[in-house]
Formats: sequence, structure tokens, C-alpha cells
Amino acid sequence: MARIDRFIALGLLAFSIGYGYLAWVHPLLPFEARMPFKPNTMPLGLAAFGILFSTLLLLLPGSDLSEKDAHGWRDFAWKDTALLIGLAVCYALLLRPLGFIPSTTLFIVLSSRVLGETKWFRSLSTGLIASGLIWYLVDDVLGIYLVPLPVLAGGLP
Amino acid sequence: MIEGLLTGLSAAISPFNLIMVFIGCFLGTFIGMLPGLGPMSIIAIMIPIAIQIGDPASALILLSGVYYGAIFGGSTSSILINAPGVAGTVASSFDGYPMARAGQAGKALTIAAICSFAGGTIGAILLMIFAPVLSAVAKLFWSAEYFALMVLGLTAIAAFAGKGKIVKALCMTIFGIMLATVGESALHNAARFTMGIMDLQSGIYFVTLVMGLFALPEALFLVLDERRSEAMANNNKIENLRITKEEAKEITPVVCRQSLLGFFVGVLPGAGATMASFLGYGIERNLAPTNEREKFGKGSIRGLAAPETANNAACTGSFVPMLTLGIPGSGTTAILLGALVALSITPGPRLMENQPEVFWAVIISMYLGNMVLLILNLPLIPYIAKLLTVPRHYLIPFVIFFSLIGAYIGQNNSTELLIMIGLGCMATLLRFGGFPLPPLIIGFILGGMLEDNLGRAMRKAGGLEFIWERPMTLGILVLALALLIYPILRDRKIRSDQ
Repeated sequence: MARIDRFIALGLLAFSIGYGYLAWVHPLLPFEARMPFKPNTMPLGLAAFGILFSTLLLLLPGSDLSEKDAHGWRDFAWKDTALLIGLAVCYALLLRPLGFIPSTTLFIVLSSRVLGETKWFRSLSTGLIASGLIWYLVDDVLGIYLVPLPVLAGGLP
Repeated sequence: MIEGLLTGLSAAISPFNLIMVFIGCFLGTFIGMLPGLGPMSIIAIMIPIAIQIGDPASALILLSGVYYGAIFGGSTSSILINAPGVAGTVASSFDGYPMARAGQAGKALTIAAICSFAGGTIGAILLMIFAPVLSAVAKLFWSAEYFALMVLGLTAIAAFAGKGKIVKALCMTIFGIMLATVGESALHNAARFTMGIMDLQSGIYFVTLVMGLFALPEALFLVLDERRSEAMANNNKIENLRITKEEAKEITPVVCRQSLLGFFVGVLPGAGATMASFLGYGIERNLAPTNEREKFGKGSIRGLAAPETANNAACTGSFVPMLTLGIPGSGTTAILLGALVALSITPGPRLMENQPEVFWAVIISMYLGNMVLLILNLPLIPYIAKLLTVPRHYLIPFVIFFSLIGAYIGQNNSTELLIMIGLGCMATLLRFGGFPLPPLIIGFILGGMLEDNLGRAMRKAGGLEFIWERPMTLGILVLALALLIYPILRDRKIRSDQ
């Protein structure tokens, strides 16, 4: 019973109940309340199906192999993965204030080092060339504005 | 018709127009590989250049090359890094990416290129023959039928319901449709389920979700499980490009069936390439013999050929309502319609009579676009597939970076990136639990259209009566139910026999 898919099923059940509650309390305008199809008609139906299927998942015996079953939990590189997720979050938060080129270079340099790159020059040059080229393609060629540099160094917010 | 065809041909094969189609295909392929930049955005970017050209035939030839190139580019990122940038190529990743992981990246890209060519070309022939007749059929489809058609599209999830996963697949589909209801819908102005977050007002962005569900978890799994990336590195022999005679024999009927199906689905405004690719995938899985069916989702060439053919044929089919009725059947044709208007051409019932040279130039440009794409891309495939030989410590950061930037350039806000990372972690957890993710994305893509059409049909009929009052709706719904239940019962019977 302590399998991960049971915990996920429990999470989905909670999500479906929460979703159903929000659909139930969704404020309707007077004219909407008289319509055969209201803004919450389909969400309520979906919540009912969600509750039904996640309950079935909790009750029925599991029969399939999950990714975890292929290898033991301990064999996985959790630390590297957590570091990489952390770097992605930092990249998301720094993209605007730091600008596209510095933040992308930093992300590529640091994440390649997390994954085993040992040469600073190689990772730095790859990061700089890739971020410069992509910025040129997206901003100059395609005309989609990307803040290239930090706000303080002249990039617009 | 022959006279028109010759007029179109003479306009299309001038040296200038041939250069245009080459440039269009080349740019479309390479820009289309960037997640987040689908055919719609690329065509929109190219419109000012097309208008500058002035000559409508040349402009359309350029845009057509960009269109087909972008679709192929999208398939390339789907197959190589499991990062489908547009909805129409999501189904290609179901089997294309497992093929790439198994060392058959070159073969997968070759199959994609050939099937795209075949689907697009057969679609163009069908367009030439049936365009006027089909515009009348398209008008027979109302919201009720569209709703039933969306339900039919959802049956593609049956392909992921094997080995006791049916409830998990259904759970994921419902979860996907739930995510599609976030934000404002086309029928209601009030936002739903946004939790007060302004950035969710217009819903969850497709690229954010698809990158969070496919590309990011794949990159995380490559880090988590080193054996996985070692296996991928060992399998990077890309000389294996050729399709054997047996494989060609196997995919030929798939290509024929899916070209027809894709084209006819594409004719229906709003249905488009995404619907055609999911439907094609589900149908081919049902038609495949038992041993082949088991391979679906694990690297089946039929599973790759079906959506690749269907989405290209559907792209061509979507030109029928645009050229004959002036109704854009998809987002891309809506932008192309804008380009035609900017070039002083009015698509509609009289286009074929008043400006036959333009009508036929569009059709010929489709042939040319498909042909040039094949000529251009087949020799490039070994080089494109070499992408997978990039060392792990650079490949993974770049996959994550392209996923993040794909979501960012679409919406230009950092919240999208945080949502994507959250979705990526959730998808990784779901994969640990053995939950199939494709049904979630199928539910999300079809969910919005499903609600809009159900709402319209219910408002018109005053309730659910439309289901039994409209025979075509009932017929499609019964077919959908049969397509969902039959494979499950059949699999169960096979298992119990074993």
C-alpha cells in the first residue's frame, strides 16, 4: 500500500476534491445561472470523474512496473538533480534582472559543471557563444525582444 | 483544371521562386526546431518579408516552404530531445523519441521526412481534386459533431492504457482536461481556477506544459539515472538511416490510410493537425497486429509514421476551407489568410474563378515545399541527428535551457518558467509512479475545444438532447466508445489467454 502510485493517487484525489470545491463555489452571473451550460458545468463533471478514477486507483491492486522498479532509489543521482532544478529556478528568477546573455551563460557554465565538466574555459566559451548566438537569432533575426544585459548595464527591464 | 495547373506550375518553377522555396524550407526547419516557435509564429515573422516580395505567387511559395519546414523542424525536436514545440508534433514524440534513444535517430528522422512528404503530397493531390466538394461537407459539421470528434480524438489514450494502466491513463486525461479549464474560456469571460495569479488569466501556455511534461523530466531522468544517458550515448550510431524493404512495406498502408484520414480531418475547421495526429496514432494502434501493438509507445515505426503523415495531410486539408470559403481552419491558415489579404487576394468561393493563377500557385507551392523539404533534409539528417552525440554534460543543460527559453519567448514572463519547473518535477514524480503522461497532454490539448463545443451544442439544444437528436453526433460518439473499449477488452482477453 505504501507504493508511490498510491501516494500520487491520494494527491490526485485531493486535487480533484479541491478542484470540485472551487468549481462548486465559482460565482455565476444571474444570466449564467439559468443557462443549460454554465462555466462550472464541465469542471463539476471533471471533478466527479477525477474523484472516481483516483478512488479506483487507491482501491484497485497495482499491476504495472514503474520507473522506480527498474533500479533502486539509492542508485539515482538525487543531489545532481536537485542542484540542476535549483539552477533552473535561479535562471528563471534572474533572467530579467540579470539579462539574457549573463544569466544563460551562468546557467550553462554551472549546470555543465554540476554534470561533470572540469574545464572552466570550455564551459565559459560554450555558454557565451551559445547565449550570444541565440540572443542574436531570437532578438535580431526574429524580432522577439529579449533583455540582453543587466538592467544596470543598459538593458531595458 | 489542367490549364490552371499549368499556370500554377509555370509561376512556381521560375528560378526566383525555387530560391524562395529553398530559403523558406531551410529557415522553417531550423527555426521550427526551437521549442515555442511553431509554424504559426514563424509564418507571422515572415509575413513582412513576404509582403516586401510583392508578387503573390512568390510570397505564397516562400510562406509555404516556411510552413512545411517548420512542421518538420518541430518533429525533429520531438524525435531527438522529446521537446515537441507544437501540438501537432506531440504524437510524433511518442514513438520517435524511444527510437532515438534506441540508436535509431537517423531512421526516425528519415521516416518522419518521408511520411511528411507523402502526407503533404497526397494531401495536395486530394486538395486539387476535392476542394470544392469538401467545402460543402465541412459546413455539415456543427458544434455537436465537433464535440463528438474531440471525444473521438481522446480515444488515442487507449494506446497508453496497456498492462493495467487504463485507470491511470483515464486519471491523467481528466487531469489534463482540468488543466485546460484554468483561465478564461472562449465561452465565458470570467477566469476560473487562477488562484488570483494574474499570469494564469489566459490559461496555462501550451509550450510551458509540454516542455514541463516531456523535455524537462527527460533531462532530469538523464541526470537521475546515469545508466540511461550511458545507454543513449552507446546507441548514438547514426549511420542507420536506411529504411529496409520490410519497413517500407509496413509503413506504406499506414501512409495511405493516414494521408486520407489526415486530409479529411484537416478539412474540418478547428480540427487540424493535432486532432489528426492523435486520431491517426490511436487508429493505427488498433489496426496493428498484436505483436506490433505492444511496440507502440516504445519505438514503433508505425507509431511514428501515422502522426507524421496525418499531421502533414491535415495541414494541407486545412487549406480547403481557407481557399474555398475564406474560413481559416487553423491558427496557421488564419495567419496565411491575413497574408493573402495583405497581398490583395480575397480567398473565398470566387478565388478559383477570379484568380486561378493564385489558387493553383498555392497548390503547386505545396508540392514544391514538400519536395524541396525532402531534398534538403534527407542529406542533412545525419548532421541533425549528430545533436545526440553532444556530451551529456552539455546536452542536458541545453535541453533544459531550450525548454525554458521556449516557454519564456512565448509569454515573456518568468512565472511561466517557474510553472514549467513545477510541472517538470510533478511529471518526474508521475513517471516514478508509472503514470502515462501522453494522455495528460492529449486531454489538455483537446480539453479547451471539447468544452467550447459541448457548451455551444448544449446551449443550442437546451441540454444534452443533441447527442441523440443528431445522428452524426451519436454515430461518432458510439465509434469513440467502441474504439476506447474494444482494445482494452482485447488486451484483457489476450492476457487471460496467456
